[in-house]
Amino acid sequence: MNFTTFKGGNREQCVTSIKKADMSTAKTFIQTWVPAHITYTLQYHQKYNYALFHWDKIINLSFVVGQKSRCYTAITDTRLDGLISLNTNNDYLKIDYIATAPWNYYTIAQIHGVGSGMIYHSIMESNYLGFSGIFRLTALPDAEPFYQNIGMEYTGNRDANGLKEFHMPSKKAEAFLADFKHNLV
Amino acid sequence: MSKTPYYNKTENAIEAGQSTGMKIEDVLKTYLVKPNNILAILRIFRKKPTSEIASALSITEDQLKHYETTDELIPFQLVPKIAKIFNVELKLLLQFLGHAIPSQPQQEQDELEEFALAAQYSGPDLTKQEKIDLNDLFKMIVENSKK
Repeated sequence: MNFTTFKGGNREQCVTSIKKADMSTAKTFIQTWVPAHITYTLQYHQKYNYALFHWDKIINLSFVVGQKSRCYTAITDTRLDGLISLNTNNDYLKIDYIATAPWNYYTIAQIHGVGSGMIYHSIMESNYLGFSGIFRLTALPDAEPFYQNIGMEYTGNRDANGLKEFHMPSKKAEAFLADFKHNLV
Repeated sequence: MSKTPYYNKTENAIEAGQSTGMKIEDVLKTYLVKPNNILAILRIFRKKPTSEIASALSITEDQLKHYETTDELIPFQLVPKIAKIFNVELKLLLQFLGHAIPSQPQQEQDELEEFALAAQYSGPDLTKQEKIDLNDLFKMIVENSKK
């Protein structure tokens, strides 16, 4: 799946692709996301509140036989701009983890639109699996406005870390797809 | 439903997961295991692309990426160039990348820095013989420090 993203203040158009993660993705994460995260955290101190997950472990786990989770990458040119880990239960698709790259976070954001593309992919996957676009996730606090903005609703549940669970209803998912279609390449 | 402004600041914060992420101390402890890892951090801190750094060091981008991600000792003559590009103290960088032993007497550490500076201005490429001589000299310094 290819979609348009936007680079820099001039909003120069780029093409970002969603692809299945492979064995080299974990290495790319360590070589690019980790040093970027360390740099920005030290440089911007407490203002840079990016949560780095153990993506190398998440990705490697998805290759273990019998595991239901699967990981996808958002690639712009050859740069890893986003990662998603999806899972399923009986009723809905679950986004176990989703993040744009450290350089796409906070005021240093280099590429805009990657997150929406990953949400579009997740809804399509939910449809494919027969869940009518429904999915859930537990949001980090800074990300809550984004999920509310795209139509997700707080379920009233919190996980062990106190993070709120959000649910994407089928009709809102359908509206998101319709709205996002013009970004597809 | 009105057109949702996806491309706004909230989009930059898209993150969801089953944890709140790693603390910076855990990130450093888990992933910053090789001294050479500092090169990528310096490069990003100074906002320099790999192409520019590789060109300044007269090496290929693949070689630069190799140095950033492995244990291979950065060649002696590259270290002063790296210190200059990133504006970091040469002596500390030499020490951090494994070219100086912390227990060396101060005079020998100063000599090491002088040789590194000399290596920087000895021309864009050392000949094979010069590289061997520099290595021998370096070994002499290290051996002397053990006496």
